[in-house]
Amino acid sequence: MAFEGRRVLVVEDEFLVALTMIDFLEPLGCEVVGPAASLPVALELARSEPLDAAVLDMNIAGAMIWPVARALRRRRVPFVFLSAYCDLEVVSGPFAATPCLEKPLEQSRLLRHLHAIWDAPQRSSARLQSATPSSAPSPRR
Amino acid sequence: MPEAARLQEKMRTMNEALVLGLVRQHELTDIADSLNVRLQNEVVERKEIETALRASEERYRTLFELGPVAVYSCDAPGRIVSFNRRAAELWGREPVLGEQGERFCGAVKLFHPDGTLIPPELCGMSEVLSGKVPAVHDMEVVVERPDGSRVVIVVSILPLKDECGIITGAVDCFYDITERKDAEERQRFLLNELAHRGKNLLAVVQAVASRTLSGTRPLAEERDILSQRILALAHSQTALVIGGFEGAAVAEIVRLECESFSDRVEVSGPEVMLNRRVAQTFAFVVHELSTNAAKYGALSVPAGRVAITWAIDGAGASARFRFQWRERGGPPVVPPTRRGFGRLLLESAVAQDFGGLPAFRFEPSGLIYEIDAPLQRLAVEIDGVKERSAGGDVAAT
Repeated sequence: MAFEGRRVLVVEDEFLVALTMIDFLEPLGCEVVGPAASLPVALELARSEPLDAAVLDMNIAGAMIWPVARALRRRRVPFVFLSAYCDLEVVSGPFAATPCLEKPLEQSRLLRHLHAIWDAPQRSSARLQSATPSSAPSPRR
Repeated sequence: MPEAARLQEKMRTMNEALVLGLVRQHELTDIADSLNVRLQNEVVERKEIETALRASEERYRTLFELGPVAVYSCDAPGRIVSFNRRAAELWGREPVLGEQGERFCGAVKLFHPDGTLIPPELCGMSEVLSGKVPAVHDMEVVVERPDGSRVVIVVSILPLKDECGIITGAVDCFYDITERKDAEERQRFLLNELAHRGKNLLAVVQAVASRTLSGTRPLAEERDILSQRILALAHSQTALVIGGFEGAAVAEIVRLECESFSDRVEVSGPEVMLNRRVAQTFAFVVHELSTNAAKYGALSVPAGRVAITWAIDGAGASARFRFQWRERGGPPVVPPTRRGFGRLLLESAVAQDFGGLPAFRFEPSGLIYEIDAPLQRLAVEIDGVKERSAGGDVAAT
């Protein structure tokens, strides 16, 4: 299997969507960490679990995912957003360069991102983590 | 004789002169009279003009004060000369007039629509007075009042010029479009929210489809199950529409799901509104239970019945929602060996969304399924739409 033993944190508060993620990741050989359906649980996993990547819903039980994203960035864990809100301006600031996949999940797209993350670690991690505060566009308004 | 003749001659000329003088005097009196008349006319005329002017001035003053549009004017150096009541209302203050007053505008702060500050020397009035721009037409500007509140205004400015074309001042008219802007913003937001909810719903359909069409049953059967599950999802949406999108009533979801066998169910419970997420899961729960009942349980035999009851126990933050599905009169109960997607919905989805592990009891009389969950978690969020946009906390969505 392509990604045997890769540990992927899934943060998703919609039970059925989380199920879709599991159904997609497990056959690839990935080990799903979570899925976390609340911010505190997600934060705990993001800080303590060994992780190779993460897929994050942006709005988790009414709260924004940013604390989890910051925790992952500190640990240099690459991640992508999965959200129905990609087109909103919320994806600005420090995570503007982080890929955001639209809901419903387009599996081939996520697969491409996982390949980008894991197949060429240097380049991909640079790409995924390029949104350092200095290079990020200043928040509008 | 010559003396007498000379004298006579003199008398004659004097007489002539006298006559001439008299004539002249007459003429002069006439002139004076006509001048007087003209003067009087002029005075009357001027008075009339003055009255007319005052009336006109009065009219414009009333228009100035009464009109719904805010107006103010500046002299050439930009000192505020006059402003009307509406201008002061929109500025949230009354500027000091004349020499000691502020220049160009009565607002404390001005911003472009994108939020960047407009320094006073770069405001529209300043640019018109300096001749940098010939006029300003329908420019959107944001005014900040002393209390920090903001209004969006549309500004038009025209210069005043003397006969030589020198700019002697300018007039600025503006009006409030804050309400329109808010309505536009609200509409945009609602359309976005609609699109997002649609996408979320499709993500749920995607999950249900992929789990239902797992290939463990004949395709025709799986197709039928999928169609039924999508209908259950549609029922939750219908119940939400009936609930004004704020929430869905438990009774409404039960009614929609049990319509086809309503003569065999007893339904009772108080009014409880479920939030969007929970309503969706609850619709799946009632659907899966009734499907199972129709296949293997009480609804698979004519004598079978189902009692659906719910209640609220306690009050305030500790109040609990208790739901029970109780079958009786069905065939002997055999606990299922297979743990399919339906079971996953009835157990794991409920545990996550209701915040309480449901109980299955396979009693000899029939299946009993119970949910015992904190009411607060299921209840309708207070305008969750607004809070979601602000990224704020929404109770249990």
